This record gives sequence, structure tokens and C-alpha cells, in this order.
Amino acid sequence: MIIRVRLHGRGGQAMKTAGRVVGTAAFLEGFRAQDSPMYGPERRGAPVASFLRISDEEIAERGYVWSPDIIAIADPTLIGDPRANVLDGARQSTAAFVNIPTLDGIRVGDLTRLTNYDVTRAAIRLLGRAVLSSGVAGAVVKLLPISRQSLEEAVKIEMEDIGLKEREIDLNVKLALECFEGTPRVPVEPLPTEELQQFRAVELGWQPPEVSIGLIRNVGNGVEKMTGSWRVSRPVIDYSKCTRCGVCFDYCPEAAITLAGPDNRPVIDYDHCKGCLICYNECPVKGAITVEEEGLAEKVASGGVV
Amino acid sequence: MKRMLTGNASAAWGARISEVEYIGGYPITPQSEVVELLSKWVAEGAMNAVYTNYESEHSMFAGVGAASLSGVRAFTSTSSQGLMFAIEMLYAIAGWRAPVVFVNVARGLGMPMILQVEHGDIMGIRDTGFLQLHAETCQEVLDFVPMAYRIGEDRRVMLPVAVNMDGFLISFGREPVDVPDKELVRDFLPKYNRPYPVVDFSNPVAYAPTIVDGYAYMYFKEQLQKAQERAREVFYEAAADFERIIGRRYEPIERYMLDDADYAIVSTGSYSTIIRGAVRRLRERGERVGMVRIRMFRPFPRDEFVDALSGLKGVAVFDQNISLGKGGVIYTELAEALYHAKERPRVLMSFIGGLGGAEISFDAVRYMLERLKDAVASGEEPRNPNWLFSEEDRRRLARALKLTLGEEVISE
Repeated sequence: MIIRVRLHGRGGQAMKTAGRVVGTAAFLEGFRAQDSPMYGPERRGAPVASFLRISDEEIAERGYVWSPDIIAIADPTLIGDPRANVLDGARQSTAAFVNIPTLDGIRVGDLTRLTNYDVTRAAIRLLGRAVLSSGVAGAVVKLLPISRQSLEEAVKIEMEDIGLKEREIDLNVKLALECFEGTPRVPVEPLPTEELQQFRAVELGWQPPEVSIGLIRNVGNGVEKMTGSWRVSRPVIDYSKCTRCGVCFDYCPEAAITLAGPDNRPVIDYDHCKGCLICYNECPVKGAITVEEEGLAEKVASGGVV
Repeated sequence: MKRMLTGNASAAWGARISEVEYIGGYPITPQSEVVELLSKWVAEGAMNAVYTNYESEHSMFAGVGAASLSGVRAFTSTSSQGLMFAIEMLYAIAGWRAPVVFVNVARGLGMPMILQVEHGDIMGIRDTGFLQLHAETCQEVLDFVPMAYRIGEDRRVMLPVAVNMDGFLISFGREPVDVPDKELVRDFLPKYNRPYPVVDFSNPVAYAPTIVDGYAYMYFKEQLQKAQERAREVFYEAAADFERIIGRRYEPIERYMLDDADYAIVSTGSYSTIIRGAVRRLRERGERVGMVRIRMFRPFPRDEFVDALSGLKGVAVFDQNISLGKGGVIYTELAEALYHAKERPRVLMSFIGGLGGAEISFDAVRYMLERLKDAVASGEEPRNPNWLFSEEDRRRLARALKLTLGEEVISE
């Protein structure tokens, strides 16, 4: 029996480390275990996935988990993001953990075995910032045949490995155990290996240069990608202090700031602002740009969650 | 009109009659003369092209690739270490499907540093997606440049092409070369017409996307392979038109004295002249031996080889390169090509020689044939590869090592 887990998060939420914590916990529990991450060339905030296989038999698999038995979603705005492919290969019986205060009004495809915990709030309370690795790991371990002791030991090993000091390690253990206790258990039904998707070969053949040359003809489609959902912190302009110098406009790497109106005031396009805060750092006027924590409720309300 | 030209000048003339519009240059022996001539012609107004000197071969290939994407016919040339430095961009250009043509002047790869010929550089880019045409003579160097554009720019192909000549022997060696009239070449080679040029501002496109998903990456790689496969039929069409318009006929491989032959020697590049001469003289002595020479190395002329070599008793492959830890590159590829042939030669023997311009004589060719015949007669599996290192080479080496090491380590 192999249990296949896929973790979805955004760059910076530490889903790679979360995968490692669960992998080590499974290893300590005496299982065969395999964990690996996948990410593109993008930055903090971009979709990231990591994969786990936990088994009492040989794991003759590698890499991407195409048929997950458990999906863990560290950021609910990913559910509606087509680039994140959160529902890839999910079955109705796939269990899903969502990092969200309540499941009221939340749909994850047609999945029925949903569970949740507000890991972000716990992380901010304990660690002072939204680093979710230990918390999501604790929640995922709750769904697996892995003990509390193995989880605790795994958090210590992995947090020490990334160079955390003893106090921070202890807080991460607290976070993991809190999320472990607080996440309601839902049944997990591993898909037998024989029932994994069958391979059916197709022959594509030669294609004309119009389609076979690696180019983008539908240019400007980046606008359709709402990178605003990547944001953890939101820059806000106080127009009473802003001098209209235009420095934020010059520095914004995403062209998410435009100069508008007769006074050329900078306007932030929150659909595409990734929250890098370069504008905040470069603004020469104290207090003209402030930083607010991104409220999850607003993002969910803005259509991020299906 | 025929005139005495070096291989380098022939390459430059090939670019000139192909009416290339963009040239990137960076000097390296034994290639520099190619871009020196082109730069002079552009400066004099003999060519309507833009010429750019680059700060490295890597940038140079990036530049000619980008020029090609903008819809103009782009050309460059390099050699050896310079090609190795640029190799990353070669994969990029092939992936962009930019039909750049570049002339490689084959030279060995240090260390130890050498300026003379070896095919390690051109063989080192065999997996990049570039088509490859190998010239034996200065005439072929010139003719292969317009041929390369014609094949590479074909809608079915859209791939860059490397034309290879041998350093010094051809690059600096002169022989009579016919330079066809520009009007004739225009008949043969239509204007380059890129489907989606980057400078069409009404229809903007973006090249070189980053892909995170394997299926899409695999699709584009498979399309490169399919385009390579189709280049074979396009070669034949181009060769037929070239013969009709210019009057010289080329096939992917040259077959020499293969009728009723029992044995054959396979080679590529300028040393084939020596091997062909030796084969003719061995024929005069009653030996049933022929030769096959590679003109098109990518796509590999597999079917042509199967056709040419089926039924022979033994084949010797002369590789002027060495894939260290494996052996000769042509030998290895030929072994694969012949594996499923119903009447494959009983013996396939690998010889390595001529590295760094080392001597290959008539008698070395006789030696290869004798060894091949012995292997066929004995019925035993031949030991491969075999190095063509002569007594005379050993005497020269002994003297050189005595000088560099200060003591006699190999006796003359």
C-alpha cells in the first residue's frame, strides 16, 4: 500500500520543508518514504508543489504525484488558480486539507473528504510570520498512520537542518502539534497501484512551424494571470503624503503601478501586484507607502476560491 | 567562373552568393579569414548586410540567432574552443527554430591545445538540433552554404545548419573553385520567409518561453527530431534543384567504387581525398574495396548507409575524432544504423587517426584494409577502436618527449 500526498502552496510558505517534515516523520515511523518538491523559475508567491509517498512496500515511483490520495492546500487562493493544478488527478474520495479557518462555503472540486485548520493564524501567533511548514506537516500527519512522537522528532530534525535556533525549533514543534491536534481526521483511501492511470501511446507526428516552434503568439496573456493572489503583504499609498515623484512607478518590476489622473498619481493594480514591496523600499517619502497584511477573507471574496 | 580559393574564402563566398543579411564575427584560428573577408565586403558595399564583431562566440551565436528570428538570413563561423564556448546557444537557436547557417572549421580540442584538424568540435554539437553538412573540398564548402540555407529554411525543417570543413588542410588550402552567379543562386534559394518574425510589430510574438511541464518540453523536442527526419527528403529536393541550376550533384553520402566490392572504408572530411586515392590504387592491385563518405551527418543518413554497405564482408570506419570512454563517433552511429540490416557486413572495424592533423598515408589505408580482411577471415570479433599510430609517429614522439621532459622516455 502506497499513500500518495501532494502539497500545494506558494513560494515562501515552505511547502518543500513541510513535505520533508512529513517524509522524515514517515521514515521515523518505520515506513518507506520519498519526498520531493517541484517549482518553476518564479519567485516568492508563485505556485509550488511538493510530493510524498509513504509505503510499507517498495516505492517504484518518482516525482510528481499524479493521483493523490491526500491533497494539502496551504493557500486556498490556489484552488481557483489554473496554473496550480490543485485538483490534478484527484478523485472524489481524495482527502483534502485546506489551511482556512472554516470550510463553510469552500468547495474543492467535487471532493467530499475535506478537513481544515487555520495554520496561518497559528503560525503568526507562534512564529510571528506566515511560515507554514511545521503546521501543514502537523495537519497532514494527522491524516496518516504516523504518531505524534514521530512528527515531533521530524520537526526537530528538519528545523535544525535549515539552521533554526533551539527556541524557534521549539515554537515549530508547538505549531506542528497544535495543527496536528486541531485538524479533524478524515478517512484516507489509498488508490491501488494497479488502478493508476493507464498509459496509452499516441503519435503526434510532424507539425507545421506555426504550431511546433516554441513561441508565444497570444502575447500579453500575462495579464490574465492574476498574480495579485501571490501577495502576502499589500503596499498601500497614502495620497496625502505621496509627492507624485514617480519612483514607485519606475521601480515596480511588474508594471503594476500606473500614473493616472491630471496629477500623475501612482495607482497600484492589485490584480497583478505580487507584493514584492520594492515600491515600499524605494519610496523616498516616509509613510507615503505603508504595508498591510493581506487578509485571506478579501482574497477569497475576490474570487480566488472556487 | 573558377578561381583559386581557400576553404575559408569559399565559405565567405558561399555566404555572399546566398545574399546573407546579417553576419556575426569573432576571430579564432583557423577560421578568422571567413569573417575578415565578409567584414571587408560589407565595408566595401559588395554585400548588402550588417556585420557585427562580438566579444565572444556565445554572444555571437545569440546575436545571429536573434537576427534570424527577426526574419533575415544570418551567418556566422567559428572553430574548436569557440564552438564549445557557444554550445549553450546552439541548443537555443535550434529550439528557436532559427535557420542560421554557420561554418565550422574543424580543429582539435585542448588540452593539449592544437590548431590542426580533428572532428571533436563538430561531433560535439551532434545532439544540438543543428543539421550538419561535411565538406571534403573547397568547392563543397562553397556549395554547401546555399544548400544549407535552402534545407534549413524549408517550412518542413526550420532548423539551423552547420557546414564543416577541416582546419588548415581546407580552411587555408587553396584549390580551383567555381563561384556561381548570384542570379543562378537566386533561382535556387528563394528569399528567407519566416512565419512569425519578431519584428512584425503589428503581430508581436515572444520567443524562448520557459516551460515547467515535461509534456510540453517533450513535444518541442520531438518536433525538433521530426524536423530533422524531414530534412532528409528536403536534402534530396534541394540537391536535385542544385544540380539542375548550378550543375553539381550531391547525395547525403558519396559512394565510391562500391560495385562488386567486398570491403569499404567509411570516412568524412578532407582526409577522404587520401582514402579515395588509396582505394583507387588498391583497386588497381585487385582489391575489391570501395569508399563511402559522409556529406550529411545530421540527420544521420542511416538508410543510405544500409543500402550502400549491405552485403559487404567488412567495413572499416575511419574516425578523425574520439568519444573518450567509447570510441569513434561515426563507428558507433554506423553500428546502430546497420544493426537491423538484413545483410549487414560481417565485420565492422573502428580506426582512430589523423587527430590534430596526424599523417594518414596511402599505406595507412592499405593497413586498414589488411586488418579488416584478417578480421573477416578469422571470424573473431575485432578489437575496437584501433589507433593509426605509425612507427614514424613514434620516432617523432620520442624526439618531442625527449625535448619536453629532458630525458629519453621512449626510445627512437
